[in-house]
Amino acid sequence: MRREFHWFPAAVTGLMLVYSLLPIVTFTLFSFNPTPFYAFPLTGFTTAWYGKLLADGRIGDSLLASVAIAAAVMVAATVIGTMFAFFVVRAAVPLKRVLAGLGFLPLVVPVLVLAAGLQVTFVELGLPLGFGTVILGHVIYATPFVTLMVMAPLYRYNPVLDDAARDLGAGPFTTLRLVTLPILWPGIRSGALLAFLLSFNEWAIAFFTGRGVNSLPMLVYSLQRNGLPPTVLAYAALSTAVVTVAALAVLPLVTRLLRGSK
Amino acid sequence: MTVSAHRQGHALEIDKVSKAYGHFRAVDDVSLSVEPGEIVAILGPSGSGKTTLLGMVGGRIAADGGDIRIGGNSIVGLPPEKIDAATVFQDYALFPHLSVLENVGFGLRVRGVPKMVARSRALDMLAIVGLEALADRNIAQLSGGQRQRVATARALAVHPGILLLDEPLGALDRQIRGRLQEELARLLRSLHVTALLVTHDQEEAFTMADRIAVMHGGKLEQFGPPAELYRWPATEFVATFLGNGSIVEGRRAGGSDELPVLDVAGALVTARSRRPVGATARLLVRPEHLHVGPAGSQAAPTWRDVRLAGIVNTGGTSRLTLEIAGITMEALSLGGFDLVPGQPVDCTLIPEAAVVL
Repeated sequence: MRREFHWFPAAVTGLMLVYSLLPIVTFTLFSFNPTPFYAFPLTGFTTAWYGKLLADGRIGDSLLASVAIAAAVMVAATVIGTMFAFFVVRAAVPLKRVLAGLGFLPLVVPVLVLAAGLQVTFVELGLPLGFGTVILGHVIYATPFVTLMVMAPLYRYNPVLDDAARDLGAGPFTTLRLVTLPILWPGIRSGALLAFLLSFNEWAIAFFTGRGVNSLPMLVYSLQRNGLPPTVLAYAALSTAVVTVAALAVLPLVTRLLRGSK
Repeated sequence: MTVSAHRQGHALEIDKVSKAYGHFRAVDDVSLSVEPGEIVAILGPSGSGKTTLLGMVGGRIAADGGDIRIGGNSIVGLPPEKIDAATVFQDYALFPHLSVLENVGFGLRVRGVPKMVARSRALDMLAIVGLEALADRNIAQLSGGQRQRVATARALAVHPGILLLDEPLGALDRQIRGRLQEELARLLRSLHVTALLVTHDQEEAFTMADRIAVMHGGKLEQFGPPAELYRWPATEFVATFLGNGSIVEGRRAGGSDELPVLDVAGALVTARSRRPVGATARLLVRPEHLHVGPAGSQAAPTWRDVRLAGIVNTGGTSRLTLEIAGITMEALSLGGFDLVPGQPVDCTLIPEAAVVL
């Protein structure tokens, strides 16, 4: 098959790259700039801001807090999101579309609105705002994303495979463990990674529902309240690098999932 | 359930089994039995209830009434994993995330057979179906015929009391289907497997089965050896579903109850019957029992100067459509290249070939 060059998609792709890369390139450049003023030309090259960032004791605690929250969110959102996907695809109950739509609401509500709503709810329920409420909020936020990732392979799943496993002597639980879940695994794994990243990067819910929770986004927020110190830029560049590597690891999985290979 | 060491299959008894979906009676009071080591085909058009019946034996579908016994033990109400039966599914339902060997060993592993034992028995089973060289392949790398054999090996590996096959060769090309039918039947007989086979393909049922159960509209129409069904169809449905044939009216003109003589389209025909024949009867005439030649070529034909309405040559044989005094009959001719549509022909019906329905 001959591949022709089409200028329009190429131009759009180029624009998109400029748009998405421009801020990243800018703050990365300034994070290596010795003077704390954000104006060209750059005055030199230094890694001092990175040194200062890593020397700040708070970042270690924040990293630990963020990883702990994201790990808990990943586990809970993956379990609940996968079960919800089974409900959406397999259940035969009246009003299923309505119920499924309600479950997907966190996907379309602005995160800030969701965060404020969660705060009001948690306070009304008398839940002490802290790690627990942040995790709960993040689970509500991340679960529909997991569901979307699991729904794709579940729609393609041939239910006769379950019949075959039962027929060969496997009970319902063994069938789930040895046949159903392994075949859905690429989708579940992508959903789990997505849930981890969503929680790891999330600020609004942590801000509204997490009193005293100093996750990484919260630390950055507190650092930039009096102007924007270059240490924040150093943090931004570092975390972008980490998340990009993680995303590149997930991308082939997602692509494979959407193409529908096993 | 444990895996029995011996391979002799069990008997299957289906006893007055019914299944309805709302007002639709998918299976209506069906009884049939399969002897140990016997291959029985359930033959019927789509919607006849044959797959529903197989699903009830496998425990996937709950029967509304009646009893199903495998080796004398009722399986009604048991979940599929507790039933001493294994199924070769229509689309094979091979596990895409497992290798060929892991697929074949799956039933043994979930029954708690140790890994190495399961592996060696799965390899033995693959050798029996001639696929040991492909043990480590992915399912996606297999051809349709190979998948069929893996599915058969997977089901046979657990030494089921009865093997259930749901249109096992239906997804394959016509050319390899015929060869695999004979191969599969030979394999099942050599292992003394009791098998219940569901098919809509008459040739598959005739090639593979010891006995055939013809189903129609959820009811069992007739159950017997293939030749018996072909020679003595109990109903008009069986008569026309198995093979070709014309059903014609005749007036009783004498003869005995077993060999009545009937007037069909102005000629006297000696037919066979297993039921009392009254003043009129409906007769099945098989195409191969009508011999056709150019007018004047037969010394004493049953019908003279018959119009040859149509002729379709299908290679070695030709299908002829005859019009005899307003009655249309089909005939089969070896060759038949010298005949042309519209020409008058002589036609002889072999005595005692037509059967009273």
